[in-house]
Amino acid sequence: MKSDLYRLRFAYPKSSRLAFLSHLELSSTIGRSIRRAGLPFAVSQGFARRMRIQFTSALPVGVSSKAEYFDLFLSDRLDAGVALERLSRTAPAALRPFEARYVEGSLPALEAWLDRSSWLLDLGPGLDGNVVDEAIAALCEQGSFTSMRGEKEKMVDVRAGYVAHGTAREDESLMLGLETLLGPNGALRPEAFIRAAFACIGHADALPRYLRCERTAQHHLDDGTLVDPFQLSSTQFVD
Amino acid sequence: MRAERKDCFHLIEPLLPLVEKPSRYIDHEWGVCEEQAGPFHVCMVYADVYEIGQANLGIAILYNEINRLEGISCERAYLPWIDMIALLRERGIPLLSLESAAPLASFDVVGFTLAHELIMTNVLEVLDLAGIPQLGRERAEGDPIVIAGGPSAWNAEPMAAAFDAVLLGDGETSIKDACMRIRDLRASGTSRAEILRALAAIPGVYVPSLYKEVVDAGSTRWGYAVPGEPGTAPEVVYKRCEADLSATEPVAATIVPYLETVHDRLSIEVLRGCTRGCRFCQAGMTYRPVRERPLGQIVEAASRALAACGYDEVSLSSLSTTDHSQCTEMLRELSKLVDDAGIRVSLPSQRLDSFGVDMAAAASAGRRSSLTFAPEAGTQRLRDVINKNVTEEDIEHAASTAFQNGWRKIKLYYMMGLPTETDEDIIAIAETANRMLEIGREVVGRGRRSGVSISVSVAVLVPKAYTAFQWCGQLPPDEVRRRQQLLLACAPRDRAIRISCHDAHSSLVEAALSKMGRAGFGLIREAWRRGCRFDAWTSQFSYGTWVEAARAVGLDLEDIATERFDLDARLPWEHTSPAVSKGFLQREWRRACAGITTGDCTMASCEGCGVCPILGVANVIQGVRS
Repeated sequence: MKSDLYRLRFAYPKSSRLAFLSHLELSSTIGRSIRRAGLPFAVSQGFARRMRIQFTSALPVGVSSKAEYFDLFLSDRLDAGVALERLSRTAPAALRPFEARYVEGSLPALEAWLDRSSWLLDLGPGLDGNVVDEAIAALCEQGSFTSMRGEKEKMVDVRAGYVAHGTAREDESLMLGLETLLGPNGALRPEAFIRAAFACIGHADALPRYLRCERTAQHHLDDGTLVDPFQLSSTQFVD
Repeated sequence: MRAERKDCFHLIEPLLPLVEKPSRYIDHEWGVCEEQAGPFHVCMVYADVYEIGQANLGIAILYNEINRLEGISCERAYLPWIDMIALLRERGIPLLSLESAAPLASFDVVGFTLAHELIMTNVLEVLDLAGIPQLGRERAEGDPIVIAGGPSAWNAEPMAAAFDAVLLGDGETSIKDACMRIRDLRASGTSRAEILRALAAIPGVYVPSLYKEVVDAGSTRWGYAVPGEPGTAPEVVYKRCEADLSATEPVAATIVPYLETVHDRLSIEVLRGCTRGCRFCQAGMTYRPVRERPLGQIVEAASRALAACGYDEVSLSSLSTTDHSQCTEMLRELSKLVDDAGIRVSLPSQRLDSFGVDMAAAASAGRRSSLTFAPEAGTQRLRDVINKNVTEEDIEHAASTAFQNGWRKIKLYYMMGLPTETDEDIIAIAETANRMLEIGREVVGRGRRSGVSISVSVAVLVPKAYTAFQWCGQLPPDEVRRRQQLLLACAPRDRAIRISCHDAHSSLVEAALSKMGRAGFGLIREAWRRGCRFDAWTSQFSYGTWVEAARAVGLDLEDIATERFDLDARLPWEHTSPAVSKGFLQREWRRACAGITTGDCTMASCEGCGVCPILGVANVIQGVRS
């Protein structure tokens, strides 16, 4: 990391229709928003001169979020509030950032550092929380499941990715809260997880064809303690 | 009766998790015209998927022009991919526009771009999905007026039955004239038939239903079109031409897509038209005269649009960007502009000489992915026949300069089936590739790590309307395959040379549709009924289905595509003209047969193509071309 760069962390949502952007589409859209905002971003050297930016782990297409982050490296220090205001004007409404603070340049890359995710899934009406508990327990017992990633089959280790869950009734729907951990083989995809759980107890058809899913928070797990991306120790902030 | 205009996004929203690339259907991109109050509504359609259509500059130009008009709004629609089409049909959901998610059938005007002949079944698919009658004569009073334009409108006859009007040439002004005329007449309760007659009075607007097809001894078997009633429509409709391109906006595409499109970058149209006179090239004849934008306008537009759109690449687009008389200064100015922002400048086509390579080097800064040249033919003799004015020396200099400037991969584009072509011309393609490889190895070195490679791509000539080769038949597919085999057999056994040949069958369908008159519609509709769509997609194209469709309507594709027309025959497209005279094209054909080349009127004297005097326009060159 070049020491003369400034690392500005932004928090933003991914909501409404833009939940259907792929990770590549999302990163290109944010990159273009930054260019439109005229922020003094740093550019990598070499043949492919790209904007210096880090994103968090990819959301599955169709999954919305209340808590996405990116770190932008700036060559000139600009007031964080001014940068936030400028970017808010040039980002699509469904991706409009709501917080920005400078963080220590030496922190680990965001994608690996933010390893805990909280999810909320709408399982629709007609399901009972006990069945969900039973399905997840059966899947944990099984230990792993296979999931399709594009045209490739992938073995997912449940124990490495699953942390906890809980259910609650909201209006008609049964809502599933899920906590996951980023493992060495990548993230646990919540929809694939719950479908595998229901398949495990022979109730694959009980879930609706489309599950509404949202990431509600991301944290760093530091020796058993959850660290908020903006609640760092004072030495990790530089403002 | 016109479909009701209402937001139907809720109908497709539940389908988004079920389809590939849902971002094709979500709208809300940066730069989109959100104000769609109308009250007069136009929808521009590119009948292919979003990532192909959104990159089309023609539609982007018209979208902006119409949305600037008071009281008229313009939206976009694309053909969904096959997964979404199946879901729409399964659930009885009509095709929707992007901006308002309103049924296409609820619009006042629906406009198609005919980018190429293989898009025609897709046009029928769009109309069917929208619930708009495919035949103009079956449309009710309230149905949308269906218009078309674009590069393949120069033989619009095979689709004449589907279009209420076809706009020829530059659309900036004529689309506005047409939309305003339709709006005013609809407001006054004028009948559909009267509206179409009024459209025919607008310069550059062709109304097919006002013409009848005549087959006689002086025509081809496809006949020609004449006004059905004298005085209702012009004998010949000439194209519209923007004489002063600098008066138009250089940045067409102001919508920044989420999805990666086929040209995912800012595009500045630096000039329009090309007078190099390649005899196979339809665009070279139909976009005349040459109109260069001034340097200052281009640089100002690039600066403004990069800031407004946020792209990291700007493309200087045109038929021949390196021919712009201020090309060197343009690249110098732009490189100052983009230097520290990680922005790339790209040129879509390279001139086959050292200057072209110098310009490519200036544009690409440090990047050296691959460089593309189009010699088009293997021998000097055949290049003279097609009027591709490059010499062996030019090609070798270009290759040498490219390798010296750091490029390692060179792509070469050729055509097969050119008039007078012999086996010697085919073998020469392989020889040229080999010679370029040798030049590269001499410059870079012979080691494995030198990375020098030559990739050769060979298309099949599709004779097009308004070219010097419009009378030619296409090479029969068996002979195409024999020559392709010959080329592969004589190519050097060297891994650094790759040769790929275009599918002869899709070129055959393209050639058949390029030559036919109104009878072509029966063939296209039959092919569509049998499932043909996305014919330009290798994965979707079904030659067998096209052959069956042709048989069902009593036609033979090969027979149509390979047919030669008499030089004096009245051709099916002569009533819709880009103003290039038939006499000029006949002379060009004779010169081709004699191997005599024709100069470029932007660098030498006028060659008498007829465009300037007929349209009252002239080449606009900002500096001096050399």
